[in-house]
Amino acid sequence: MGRQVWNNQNRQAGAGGTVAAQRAIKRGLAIGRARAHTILVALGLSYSIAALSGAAHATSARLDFGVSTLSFPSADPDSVPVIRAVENPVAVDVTINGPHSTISQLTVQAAGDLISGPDQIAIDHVGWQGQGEGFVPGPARLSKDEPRLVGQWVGKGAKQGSLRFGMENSWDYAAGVYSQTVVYTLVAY
Amino acid sequence: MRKVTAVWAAAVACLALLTASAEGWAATDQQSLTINATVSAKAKLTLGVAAINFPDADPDSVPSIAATENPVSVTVKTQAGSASSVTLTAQANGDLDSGTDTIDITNVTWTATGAGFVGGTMDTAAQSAGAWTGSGRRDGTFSYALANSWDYTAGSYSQTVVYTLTAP
Repeated sequence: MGRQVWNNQNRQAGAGGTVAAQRAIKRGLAIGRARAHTILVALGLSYSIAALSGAAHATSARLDFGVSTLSFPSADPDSVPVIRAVENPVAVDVTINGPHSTISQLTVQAAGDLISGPDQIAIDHVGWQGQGEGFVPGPARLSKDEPRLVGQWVGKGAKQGSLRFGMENSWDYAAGVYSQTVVYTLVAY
Repeated sequence: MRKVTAVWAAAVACLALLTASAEGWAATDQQSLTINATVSAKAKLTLGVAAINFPDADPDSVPSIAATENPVSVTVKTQAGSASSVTLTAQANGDLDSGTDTIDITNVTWTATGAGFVGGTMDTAAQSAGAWTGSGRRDGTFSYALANSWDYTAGSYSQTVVYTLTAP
């Protein structure tokens, strides 16, 4: 587009100009073409280098959970002050491919509080303890407002750990069946 | 002019290289987990004592005999629907008995402290002793009294009262 505009401007100048002016225009065109050619070649080269560099340092991150659902059964708050998830311990596999300097972080954030119709249980009543290299031992609580760190690592390879979830029990909870989604995000860079 | 062009081209190349490299190095993966929690309706009633006693007393000087155990602590704990009615009732199995002699159970009354707890008169029909809405823990006390009378036959009387907490 820029090149077309540049040429149109020169054509307008040349329409009423002298021979000298026409030569000057031709020189300008030649210089413009050379400059554009140089930029195009440089761009092509740089993207090729970048592509090769990216291929050499290709980073990939894979996150696998042993389950897709956690269940907290009903229990007497006096005898069971903290309800353990039926699925405990939940296996977590993190696989990082990339340079040795790759930094990876696993975080979790809830989409909201536990909901049962009009009733709610604050999501920070659910917490976990981590086990395994790089996993935050905790205890930590879920949050709907900000991501919470679950684990972090440097370098590539497979990291295996487990999470044990618990929910604080209370007489204040209204009877119901509650549900909510939490999202675990693994980022490697 | 050629120098300027070369410098410009180099700058563009570096920028492209950095951008492409950064894009190539970052990687991400996500997994969702669904959390389910079940809270079933529950009710737990705790009385501070299992028996109350009314000692002998002169009806003229002690027209109302207070139970030795007064005040009796009472704790109500429920998990119920947020709009559900929680009720506590007291119901005597009969009058106070001593062999063939009886004292009408309605001579036993109680007063209450604590939000939602109510006083009343004992009866063989269920009497309200408290009412609330939804889940929570409620603490209160009951203080019992027996109306004294010269008409009572001497003896040791006894009866059982059943407290029922309901949280639908």
